[in-house]
Amino acid sequence: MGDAGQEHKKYEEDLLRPLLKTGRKFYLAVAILLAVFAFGLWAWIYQVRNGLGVTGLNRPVYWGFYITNFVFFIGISHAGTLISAILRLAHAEWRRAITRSAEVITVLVLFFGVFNIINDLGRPDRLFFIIKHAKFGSPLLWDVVSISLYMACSSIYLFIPLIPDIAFLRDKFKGTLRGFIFRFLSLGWTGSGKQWRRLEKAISAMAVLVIPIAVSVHTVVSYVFAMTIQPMWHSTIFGPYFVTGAIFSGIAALIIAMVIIRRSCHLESYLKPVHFNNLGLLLLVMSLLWFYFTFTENLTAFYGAEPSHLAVFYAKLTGPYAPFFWSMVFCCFIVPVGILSNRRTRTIRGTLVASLAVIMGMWLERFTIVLPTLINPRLPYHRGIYSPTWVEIAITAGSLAMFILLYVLFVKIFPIVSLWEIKQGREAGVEETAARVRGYLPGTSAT
Amino acid sequence: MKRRDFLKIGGGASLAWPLSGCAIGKLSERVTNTTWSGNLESWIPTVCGACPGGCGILVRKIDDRVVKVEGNPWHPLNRDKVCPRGQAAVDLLYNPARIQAPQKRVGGRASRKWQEITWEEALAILSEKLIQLRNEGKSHTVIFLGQLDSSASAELLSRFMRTYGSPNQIQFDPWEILENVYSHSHGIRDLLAFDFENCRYILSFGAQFLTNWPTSLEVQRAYGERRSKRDLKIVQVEPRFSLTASRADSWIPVRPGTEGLLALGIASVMVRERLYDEEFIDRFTSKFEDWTDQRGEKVEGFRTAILRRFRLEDISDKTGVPLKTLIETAKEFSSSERALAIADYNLFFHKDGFFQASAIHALNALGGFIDKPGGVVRQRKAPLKALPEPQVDEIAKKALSQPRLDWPVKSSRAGTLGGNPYEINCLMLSPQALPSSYPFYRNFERVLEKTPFVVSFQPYQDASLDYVDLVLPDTTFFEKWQMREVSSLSMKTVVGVGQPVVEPLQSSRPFEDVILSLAKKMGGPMASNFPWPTHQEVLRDQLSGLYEAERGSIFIPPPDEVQLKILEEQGWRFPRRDSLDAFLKDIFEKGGWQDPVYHFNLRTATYQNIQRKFEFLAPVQDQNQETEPEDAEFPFQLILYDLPFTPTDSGGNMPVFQQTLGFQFESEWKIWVEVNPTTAEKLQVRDRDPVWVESPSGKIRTVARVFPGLAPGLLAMPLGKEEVFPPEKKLSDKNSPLRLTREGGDLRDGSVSQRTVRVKIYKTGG
Amino acid sequence: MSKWGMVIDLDRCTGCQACVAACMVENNVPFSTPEIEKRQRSISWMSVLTVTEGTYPDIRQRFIPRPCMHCENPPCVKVCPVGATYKNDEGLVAQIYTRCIGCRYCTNNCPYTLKYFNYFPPHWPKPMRKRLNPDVSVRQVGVVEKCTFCHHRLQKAKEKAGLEKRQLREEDYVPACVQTCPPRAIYFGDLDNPKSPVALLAKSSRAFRLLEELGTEPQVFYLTEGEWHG
Repeated sequence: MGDAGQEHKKYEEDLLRPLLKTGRKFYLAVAILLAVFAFGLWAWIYQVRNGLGVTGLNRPVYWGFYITNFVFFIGISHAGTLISAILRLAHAEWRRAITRSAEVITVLVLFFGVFNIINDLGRPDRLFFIIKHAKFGSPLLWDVVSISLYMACSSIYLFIPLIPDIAFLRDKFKGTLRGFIFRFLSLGWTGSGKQWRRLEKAISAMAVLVIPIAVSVHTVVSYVFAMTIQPMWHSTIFGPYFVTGAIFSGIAALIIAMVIIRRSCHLESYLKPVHFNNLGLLLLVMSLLWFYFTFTENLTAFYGAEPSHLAVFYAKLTGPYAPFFWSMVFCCFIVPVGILSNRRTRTIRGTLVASLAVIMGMWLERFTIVLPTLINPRLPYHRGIYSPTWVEIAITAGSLAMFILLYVLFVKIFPIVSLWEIKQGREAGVEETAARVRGYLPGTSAT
Repeated sequence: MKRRDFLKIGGGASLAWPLSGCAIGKLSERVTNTTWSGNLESWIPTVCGACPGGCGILVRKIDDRVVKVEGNPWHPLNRDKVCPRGQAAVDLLYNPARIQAPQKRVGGRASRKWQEITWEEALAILSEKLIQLRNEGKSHTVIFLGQLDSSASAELLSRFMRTYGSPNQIQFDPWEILENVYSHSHGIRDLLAFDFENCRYILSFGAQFLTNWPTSLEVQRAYGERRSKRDLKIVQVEPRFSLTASRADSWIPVRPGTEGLLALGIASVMVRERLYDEEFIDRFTSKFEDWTDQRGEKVEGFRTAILRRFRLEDISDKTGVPLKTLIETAKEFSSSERALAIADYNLFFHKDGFFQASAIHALNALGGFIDKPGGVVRQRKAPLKALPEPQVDEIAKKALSQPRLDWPVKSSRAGTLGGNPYEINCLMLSPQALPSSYPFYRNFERVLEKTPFVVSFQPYQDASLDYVDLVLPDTTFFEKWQMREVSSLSMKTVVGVGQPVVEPLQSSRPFEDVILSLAKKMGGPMASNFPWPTHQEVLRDQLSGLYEAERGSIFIPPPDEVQLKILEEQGWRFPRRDSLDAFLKDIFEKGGWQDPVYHFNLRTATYQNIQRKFEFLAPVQDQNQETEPEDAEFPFQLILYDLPFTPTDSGGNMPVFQQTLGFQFESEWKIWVEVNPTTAEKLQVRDRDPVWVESPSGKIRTVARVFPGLAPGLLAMPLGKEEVFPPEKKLSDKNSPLRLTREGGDLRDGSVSQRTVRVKIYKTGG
Repeated sequence: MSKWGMVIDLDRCTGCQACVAACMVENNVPFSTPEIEKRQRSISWMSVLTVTEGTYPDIRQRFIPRPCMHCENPPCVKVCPVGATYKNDEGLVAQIYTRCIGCRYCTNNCPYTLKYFNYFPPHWPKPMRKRLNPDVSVRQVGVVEKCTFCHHRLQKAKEKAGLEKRQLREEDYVPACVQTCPPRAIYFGDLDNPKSPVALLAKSSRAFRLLEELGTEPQVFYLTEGEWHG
């Protein structure tokens, strides 16, 4: 107990330090993020006052930055739950340090995805018509249902494993305001065996539940495009394509978050190179899978040579969107595969670079899905052009800034690495895994 | 900032586009005029004044607001159809650029400082000036410039100018070219009509009859009907593939300025192969064969001249039309039972336009297509009563004998001194804006600057006000009593009339009433020649002629017209109304008067020269093909053409109309230059690239559009397009294609062509 | 009940734009300005497409007026999340401005690109508001609009027929573009009425529809051009 006890004490110390100590860098970061957010807020107010005309949208380009952001943010939300849930179900021990940071990404970023789509409405004051006059034949309604469900589930899925840590904090901050709030949030956790068993069951159940919901979310987001009859939107592989892309960007976002947390919270011994190595490998696999889908998508359009499809195809490959398209290929395929296939470059820095490239590339991917189709309407007509105004850029930057700010605040309030899971990993994880591995070998009973 | 000051005319007519203010606020603001009471709908017949056509319209009113214009089904010209100008005309009435009351300029010109004055003051100022000039014996130095589409208004004004003593009622009317031709060949100084409804073959030399004629609505209806039966062939001969050319059955591209030459080529084939109507030539034409003049000398007739002077191969070379096409067209034209060869007002701008138009019209004589169904016919004028002959006093008579100053309308010769017999002391500008295709604006600006006193009757503010000293704003046609005879281009005898649909807005007054008031204010001989209190009384007098007429009827439902025709042909007529008052009440309620009967073979009507025959003009002039010589530095020939429905007025104050003009090139406000694809490739200019088009006179910046409807050596630019939203509109838009045309020269001596210019074209940015 | 449709004879259409102007005035469609054109946001419920084919000197040009097709299987109706656009029992695809949330899904799904969005509040200069047609609501910022076959005229015709105690006749209901077309190129009527000129013309061998392969079943038919039979 003594040795374990000391270890536990070290864990607590390390993981609670960010909650207790606030360095100058924190305030600086918050200040910058608040400034960017304020800029975005100003742009948003300007847009609400003057209508969507202040953006670069026009006819026939009716969707632009905001829809791209919507798909992008919802895509990133696949980080948390999928990684966390899948790794839990697969009993991957290395997940312990990263599950919470992943789940927080999910819960927070969903709000910004939803914000961007609400922001894209011509009449946001009529938002509740979606409920009052809901027409379920429309893919947008499927989005509403799916994303609401996902928000609820991933919030629960974040909250439940948070309970033991909240209880710990409640005890630690007893007597203060913080302690009072934590007592309220901890739902009367005492740490009894029965509660632990319930907790484990609940987590497993949620893990199982969350995966199909998460898959459905980005599938229905893809259906917004796939269910139209516009060239290169009306594609059968959009469902899996988008889900793949979502997981892809989600992992990349997670890696970036982890690198920052690792540095700023001094959690080098918790977020070790092996974590990044494993995530890097996952990223590599997703990159290859993503490339497979993209290649198929474009090859079928090109080979079929239907004029309306070719117009969009060439807009992407050689036309006005070529810079975006080829940058996307570079960022989503060439850079990640180049860095991550070689063990020597699959370091923390390497995965960071790859992830940054992937994040940029995946935003460009959404962009090059939305725009080229819109600028090439089926009927011969003055081809569209689109260039965003400062309003769209400001709102995008503002959303991103606020998301990061909320994330930073979360890190300040709750331990971003799950304390009890680390403890549990040390105590029980090692033996369980050893027992499991022994069970695979011949001559022993498989349990 | 200048624009905002400029817009403070007349009590705060504001043109600030209301994009200020909260969108959410506007969410609750109802931008309509619906109230819960009233909203009484009424339909008032009148005549449209948006172009010289004079179509009959029904104006839809809600309470006292004009809301829509539809066609009057009882008006024979347009029936229940309206062209885009007519539809957009509702924008003219409540236009934010309207001048609301008479304005006097305070401060220097272009200072844009105006003072609103009363009509009494305004009329006093103008009448004092006019009387002063008259007493100094300078009444001939007063010029009235501009169109007056309504013949009733034009007549009133000419009466005024005559009794005042000025020969200078000047307007820019390209149709004059045809009037000159008919004057020579028929002895009629008027336009002749074309019977489209019965025609089976149209050989049009650049005539934009579907869109740029005052009678286009009638032509379009005939076109539609013939298209359903597909028994009319239209052949369009012109350098540019125009909208009318696209509706034709075949387009014969020809070098600019060689239309007349091609006509002579066709005539040549007809003469050589004796494909002409011999009987017609014998009976109804003169100077076809050689003839002797008064001195007893033999003069070549049309036939000899054609056979001697023109070789088909040469013509084919110079026009660029293959010999085979030329001969086939000639054969088709002459073998048709009912054909028309049509020349258009465009020839006005060519230096030998008279001869070209003459050659084209000669084809009608060769084919015998005059005064027959489906041919060239003369409209029978409505028997309106003439106004009593005015008493012209000695002062006026003396002044009227002075030479007319046809410039600045017909020439670009600059200046007042040295070039002209006398200076201009007062310039009166008609309520109708000069068309944006008016070619001599450069000189016109100079004239305006030098004229000491400029009065304008325009209803709308625009940058031309920079040259004006006094404004007496006219109303729109919705607010006045009107009478418009249908243009002579139509064979129908129709007089459309209209009552005011709404009261004049603010303090604007109908131009015709202002002329009457002015005459009365001037007193003496002027006042006695204008006894009518308002224009309505003038019209009553003129319309009384119809009341007393032995033919025709006030507008009746179309089925009844058949009955009327039958009755008239048998010598009966519809019963006369009880009294002149009853007649007038009825005519204004129905919208006009018409006579549906037309007799062909009326020689006395069709030819009014001494011999009562068509007189051929032997082609002695060598018809030129290039209006400008070849030039290595300026290798392209730029054609300037009129957009649909814009020849007399670009419709700048009708944004709904202006917006539609560039539809063929998907352009709503920007001007463009059309380039042949091969040329574009050679110059490495892509569609929509910004380019400079430069001529020896100037250069403008525009956008290139690839268009296969031009030969590789040609470019084309539209006239009539406003690039800016009024009242930014300037008298001479910096970017107008007219900037490229040549300065100097005089259309009277034919030394310039205003519709083709030698240019070069290159991309911006090197 | 009825299936109102149009037949546009391309042989007769002269590209004069009277239909475009009439539609704009009748339906309170805000006119464009140079600024709006630059930003590509002009609204024009009826627009005439120009198709130029061939090389000099053998070129052909035709004009294709395009109102809303009022499809039988409208792609726009399928995707509207609030049912602001729907197919009514007159066979018209209707648009409810007060319900539209401006998501622009329908504008993106229309393969003919014939739906329009109000990016700004309507810019009517105050004096010009007098000429607004009180029968048609002026759309506010943030909603989608499109050609309605002048549905307000149908309502008026029905009311008139009711007042006169008679059935609605097909010729009572005439949209603005049909009424004003000078060469009479547009025919309008009930496609479900076998004797109606539109129904007969729609079966003609010259009849075709735009983008037929997409299965939208538009109710606007076009008649191809003919040839001079000399």
